[in-house]
Amino acid sequence: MNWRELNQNRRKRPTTAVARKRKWKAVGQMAALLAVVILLVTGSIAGIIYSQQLIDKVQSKSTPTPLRNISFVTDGMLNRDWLVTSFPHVLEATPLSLDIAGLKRDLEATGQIRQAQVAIILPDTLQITLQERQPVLRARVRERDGSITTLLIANDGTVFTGHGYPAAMLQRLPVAADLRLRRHEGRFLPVAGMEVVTRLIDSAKIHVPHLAADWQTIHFGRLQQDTQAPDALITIGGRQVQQIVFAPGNFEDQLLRLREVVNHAAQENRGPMRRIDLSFREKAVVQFN
Amino acid sequence: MSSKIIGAVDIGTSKVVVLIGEILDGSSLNIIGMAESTSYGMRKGEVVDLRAVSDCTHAAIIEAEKRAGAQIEGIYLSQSGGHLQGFNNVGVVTVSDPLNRVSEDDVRRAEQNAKSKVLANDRVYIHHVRSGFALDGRPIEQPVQMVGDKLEVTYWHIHGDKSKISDQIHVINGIGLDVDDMIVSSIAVGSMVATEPEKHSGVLVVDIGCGTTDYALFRGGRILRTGVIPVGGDHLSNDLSIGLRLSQKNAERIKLRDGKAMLEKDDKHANVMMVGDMMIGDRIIPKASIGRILQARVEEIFTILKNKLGSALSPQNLPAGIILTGGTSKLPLIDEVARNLLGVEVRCGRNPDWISTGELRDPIYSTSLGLLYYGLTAQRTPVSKSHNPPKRKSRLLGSLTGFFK
Repeated sequence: MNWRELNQNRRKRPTTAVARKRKWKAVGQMAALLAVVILLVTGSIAGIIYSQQLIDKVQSKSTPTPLRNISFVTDGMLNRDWLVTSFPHVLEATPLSLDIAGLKRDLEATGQIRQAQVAIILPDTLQITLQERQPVLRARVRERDGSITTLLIANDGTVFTGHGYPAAMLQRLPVAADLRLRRHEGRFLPVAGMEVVTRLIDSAKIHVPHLAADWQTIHFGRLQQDTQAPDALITIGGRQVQQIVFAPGNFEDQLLRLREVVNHAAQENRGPMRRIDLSFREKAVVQFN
Repeated sequence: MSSKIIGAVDIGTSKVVVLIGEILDGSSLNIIGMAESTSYGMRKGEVVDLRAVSDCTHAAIIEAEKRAGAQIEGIYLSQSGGHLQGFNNVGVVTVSDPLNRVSEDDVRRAEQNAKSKVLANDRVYIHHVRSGFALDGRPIEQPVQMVGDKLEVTYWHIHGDKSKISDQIHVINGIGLDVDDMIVSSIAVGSMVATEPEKHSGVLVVDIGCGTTDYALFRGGRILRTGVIPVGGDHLSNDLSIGLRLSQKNAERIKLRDGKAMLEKDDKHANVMMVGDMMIGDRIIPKASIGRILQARVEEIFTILKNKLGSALSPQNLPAGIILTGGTSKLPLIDEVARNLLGVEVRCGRNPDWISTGELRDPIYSTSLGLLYYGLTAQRTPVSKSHNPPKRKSRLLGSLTGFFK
């Protein structure tokens, strides 16, 4: 028989006080470990249950309360009434159901709006902040049914219908003539050569403001194909001078010549001028009535 | 990184020593705690008062655990006492292969044959120490694949009294721990104080403790014999007490303070004071008397040893001599007495240099250190392919290999 076959009864009660103390210490440590494990497990379960309840609560709170308030801020002419007329679904939408990205896309597609910011402020406010385009020209367009529609053109060439502008203001805008508007997917494409015309108008407002205010038509006929073409011209129609012809580029010089010609004619009392052609370098060809 | 906390418990007659070691990845050992307590309830290495032994052993274990800051997972227990005995048994088998080539199965059969001796009901085996193989009478190290007719394997079997071993196991079980392995003290000590070259050339390790003197004889790197003489340092104190009519306490004090293992010329006419405080009751004691009494008992111990080992105790068989260790080996001139009486070289044992803690260098810790070393070896050794696997824990199988293959 080997000594290993002797019974080692570990489960026997401790035989001395220190052994009992050691046993209780081990039991205590085990109990503490168990308690920590139980605490961790119950804590985790409680945390999961609580977070689930919180999610349910948030979800239950966020169900169908429609957007009651619309905060509408713009730097142009549009207003809240235009919004609810153009996009009536925003009044019935709830914060969860409203497609914010879609609304922003639709707003910016109107042409009059350069940039739109759409946000929902919980619980029930829709906040819309707009930056609008400013019209510099107007254009008359014949529709397929024969009716005439007036459209506005912004300085970047964007063509839009225009809402909220006073009629007097629109009347003062020059008319874009000989314009060929092209459509793509139901919308007008930006006007070609508009950036050149914008530069001309902006320069004119600085150098010859009294003449610029008189301009009634701007002809795009010889500009739209190619602004760099040698025969490209911008023809302005007005009351004071019936026709002013500009070459695209170096507008400051042309406008200074225009001012000089107009002033000279006034000093000489030559009467109304029919045509001033500034497209020749350093010259001005003037025709009087 | 895996670690195992093991405890080495040496329950001696005078003290209980507990060392706690942390074995990391089964390859390195850190000694992380130690404690020592005065032993009560032991006599000549045997338990005579289970309660008292439990008290002091448990106190030492608790203290060691406290210092280590860890709880012991298993105990390596030393075993000593006069009840331990050993005998040689040779297992002989005829090689089964037609070409007479020794197979592993032949080795297993020989080993089983050697271990098959049945002991009396009150005895249990502690170790089966393999001493070596012989093929057709030729000593060999590894017989497998060698050619021969008759394979012999010799085992030194160490066995002890069942109830006395159970008592010590119950002391450990009483604190809620298992005895992972049990190692005879002399083997544990031998593994510490004797070097490998000494074990190969032949050395006798003698551990003179308080109640017993344990010895282990090594040769060829193996343990050839072990034994216990139920005489130790306590007998020296007892002899002084009776011979000089002193209390045990005073006898112990004089032994430690003025004791020498042999009478020197200068001491023949010298005297010492019993206590030294010159108070009433203090008296003069001749050093010659102390020397004669101690020398007689020390000579008796070595004479018994000589008689037990017979011709094995000769300069030819012990080129590395005798290593004395244990508390009583600190008695001055004891090595001189052993040298004169046994006729072989004698040196005092000391623990290996890799024991960095100065306190642990003292030979009184050799047994406990040997137990820890044994525990580390057991962790390193792969599981034995023994036919009779122990029932309790598979990892214990490993502890039978290493030393005892």
